[in-house]
Amino acid sequence: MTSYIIRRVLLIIPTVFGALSFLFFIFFALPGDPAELIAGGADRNPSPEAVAQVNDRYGLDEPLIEQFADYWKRTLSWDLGESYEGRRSVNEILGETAPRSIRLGIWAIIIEIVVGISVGLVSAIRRYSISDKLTTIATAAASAIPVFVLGYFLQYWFAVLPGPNKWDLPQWAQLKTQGRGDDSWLLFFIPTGDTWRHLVLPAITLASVSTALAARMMRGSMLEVLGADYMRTARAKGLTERQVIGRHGVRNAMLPVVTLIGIDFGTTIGASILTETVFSWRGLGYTIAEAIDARDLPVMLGLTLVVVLAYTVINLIVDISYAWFDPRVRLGGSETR
Amino acid sequence: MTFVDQPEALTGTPTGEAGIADVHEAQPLGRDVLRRFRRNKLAMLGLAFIVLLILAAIFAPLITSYDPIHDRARGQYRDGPSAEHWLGTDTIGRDVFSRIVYGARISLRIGILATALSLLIGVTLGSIAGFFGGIIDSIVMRITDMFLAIPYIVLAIAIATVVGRGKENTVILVLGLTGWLAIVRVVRATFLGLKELEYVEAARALGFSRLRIMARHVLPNALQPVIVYGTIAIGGVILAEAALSFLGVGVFDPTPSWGLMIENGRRDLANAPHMLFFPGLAVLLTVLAFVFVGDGLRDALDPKLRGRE
Amino acid sequence: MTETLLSVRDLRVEFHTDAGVVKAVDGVSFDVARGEVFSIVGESGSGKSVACMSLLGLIPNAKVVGGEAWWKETDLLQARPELLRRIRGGEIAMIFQDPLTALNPVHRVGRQIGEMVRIHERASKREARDRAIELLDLVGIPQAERRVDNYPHEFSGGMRQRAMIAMAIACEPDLLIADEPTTALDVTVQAQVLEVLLEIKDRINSAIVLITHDLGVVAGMADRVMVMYAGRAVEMGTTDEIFYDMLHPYTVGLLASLPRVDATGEELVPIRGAPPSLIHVPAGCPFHPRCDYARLPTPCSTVVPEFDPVPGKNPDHRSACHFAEELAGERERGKARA
Repeated sequence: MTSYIIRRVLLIIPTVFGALSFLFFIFFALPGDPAELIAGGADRNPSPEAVAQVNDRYGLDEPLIEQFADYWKRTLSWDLGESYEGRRSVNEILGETAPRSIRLGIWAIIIEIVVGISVGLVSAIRRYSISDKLTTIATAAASAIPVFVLGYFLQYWFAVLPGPNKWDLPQWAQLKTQGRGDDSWLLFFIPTGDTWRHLVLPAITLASVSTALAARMMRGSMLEVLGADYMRTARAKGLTERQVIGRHGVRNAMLPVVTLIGIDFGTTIGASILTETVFSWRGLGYTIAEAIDARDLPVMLGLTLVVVLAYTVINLIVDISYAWFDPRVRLGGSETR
Repeated sequence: MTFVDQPEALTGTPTGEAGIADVHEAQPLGRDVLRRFRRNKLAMLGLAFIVLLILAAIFAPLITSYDPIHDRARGQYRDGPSAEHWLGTDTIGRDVFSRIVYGARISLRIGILATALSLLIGVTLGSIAGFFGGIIDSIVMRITDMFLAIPYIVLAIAIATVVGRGKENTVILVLGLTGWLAIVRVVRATFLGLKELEYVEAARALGFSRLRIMARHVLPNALQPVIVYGTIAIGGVILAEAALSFLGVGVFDPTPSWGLMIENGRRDLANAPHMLFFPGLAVLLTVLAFVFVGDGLRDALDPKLRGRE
Repeated sequence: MTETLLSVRDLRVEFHTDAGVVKAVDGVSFDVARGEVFSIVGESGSGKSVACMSLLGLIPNAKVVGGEAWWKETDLLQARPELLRRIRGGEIAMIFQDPLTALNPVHRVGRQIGEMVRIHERASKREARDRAIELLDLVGIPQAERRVDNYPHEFSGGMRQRAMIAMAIACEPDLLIADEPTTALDVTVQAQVLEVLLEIKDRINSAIVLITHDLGVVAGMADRVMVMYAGRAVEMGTTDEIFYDMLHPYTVGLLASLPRVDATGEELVPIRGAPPSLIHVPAGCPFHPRCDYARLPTPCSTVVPEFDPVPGKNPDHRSACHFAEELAGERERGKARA
């Protein structure tokens, strides 16, 4: 197990190096004139002085190799530059917006795990039943609907239509459709006060795609497990059906789903850009969307960098936990006596 | 799993032996697959929808009465559905229904072409990596890992932001060049697995060249997951294009992309929701159709599911 | 006076598939007495596994469409689920073919063995573990104390099978059904595992139903044998009778096709043709297309032979062949000539 961990961690280094270098390539080598883009974007016609300033600051008129080295020097010392708009440092923006996205993300993942796994489990057990067919359609729909459309629909339903908000529910159950409320949190991610009302809809929206995927994955995995030989053995031992599934089935079925959560995280990141925009939840995603709109390259690059790093770390953790859960990997190969 | 759980294994001609009469004929694989697919109601529904959509896209001028880009109904801005404009009008008076129908062209074109590009790259790289193994495999895998470290949407958005000037072809390229990642792994895994299989060894023993083996024997098997993935991927690309256009880095106005229509419609969500939800519905139904068809294909092609009533 | 534990009469099991109705078991009857080793022999597809697993209701897709299976006052085929559950493992235990896939890879071996006593005898965790160590020791696994905490993949093939046996006998069942217990093992290990089975059987005074296609195993282990073909019983008798006094052409063919170490230079004699489809079973006697003794068209392709005792032979020696008597007679004459 330890050797696995070490190998896995070592593997990260070239991957991250490659990925971040690739980002450099995208942002600095691809566009026609990166200086122009950074100075304000091609549609804003920045003044030649502004462009010259940017060239100076980022050394963009130097040969590509030097730029590359420079880029890495800056990145390693965590100098992510400044937003061209308002001149705030990217680090500052990061510090402000990242926690908001993390909170939203945590809740989305909680929903994904709880709802996704149970739905998948139940629909596998009741294969071909009505509830299974309904769930299949529901999960398919949830993964087919664009995240932002779902978001707008929820907004519309709660804010405009005579939806649940217009029913006679107590004040605390009225869900908000914009912003973050008083932004009060316990233990970093538990919403208190008014905040939770603002959290529900965005969290559900953000979770929708990955929950659907998790449910389908769990269903598939569980179906495979249900047909496995050791399930038959368990029945032959006299266990009740519930014991068979609970003790022997679920644990095995969940293994591949654990890995999925890691990959899903990437989808969630992408979805957060869209979700946060819809609900005006000013987190990382919202800021990236804004930066895209404003063609604010430094912000885009800086935040993307952070996203890539976070994604890599999460995947690493997921891989290691998978290895831990599966005794075949944890203990290495078989001993033959 | 022993055969007892797969009684259909009992119905075909036993492998290898020349049967004497009375042995029931095994159905050819293709017909089995088609039969199974036809029985899947959702998949058939999806297929029907896609066919309809394609027809609508091709014959768009015949079923719409307005030009999606140029016809602007004066004074009828943000109107809800009516007899004249079946799905209403948008902010500058264009007919929503026409724009959706023409939008189907965009979505289908981008979806199919980008996916085709992804598959081409992915299958080629995957088979090379899987078949040759060794250093080549490592290199391909390292490159893939590197790309994979950047979430798909983020990657597409990044490239599109920097490059895109709103043209359809750019979007196709961007989505095509980022979508091959998932399929490489699958193809590579299939190749790696099949390479060791006995019938490949048998073919080698008979003197077939490696290339021939790869093309004739291994590739058809590897294609099964590719077909399934490709179908579902078309849906994914359509979603991605919608997201890109929504964020402003996909196609630009006045092209009737569904994603763009949604973005245009968001400002008037409260009083003119039709501008957002009709294109939204279009995306949902189209992607759903591809997902159902893809799922149906997978179920139809997967031998493990045979006989499970 | 040996006690009859299991009494199966006219068992019929079907599968409904896309391609048609598969008659996996088509009218099988047999008895198993305490202390004996009863072997069911046949090719793949003969229905031997399906028949036994249906007794315990272990095949969800299978439809039992006829027959009775009496186990101590209870008809297993009609039993309430809770009763069947108690019998499974507690009174009738099964050992499966491939111990690698039959054991749960994510649970420790000791825990899987201990699970038996925890369910059936409400033992505590501590007691279950102690029992597991005891059982592992019993089946001949060295260092049981340490091994009890291993995972299945850490055992070798033979040891895994022994662990399965340990698990099966945990509650001292009266009947052990072993489905091809040695097929997945190396030849040298096979003998060991079979020996363990016999020892256990004597120790807990149970019976064994041994399902196999390997006649060598039958010769070494079985007291009585039933030969199955295409879902039906074609011959049943003592081991000696089956090996030396066969009364069915299929049995004759089976034994003739065995390669023999002591007969060098002779050609191998397979049974011609291939096993039939169980959806379109040949009319009359299912074996007739491949039978060298068949009289066509009547009666072999029109009348289904009854599974009856043969005149002039031991009444417990049954055969489903129209010409069993003739077969016996021919052999007598052959012997007389030699």
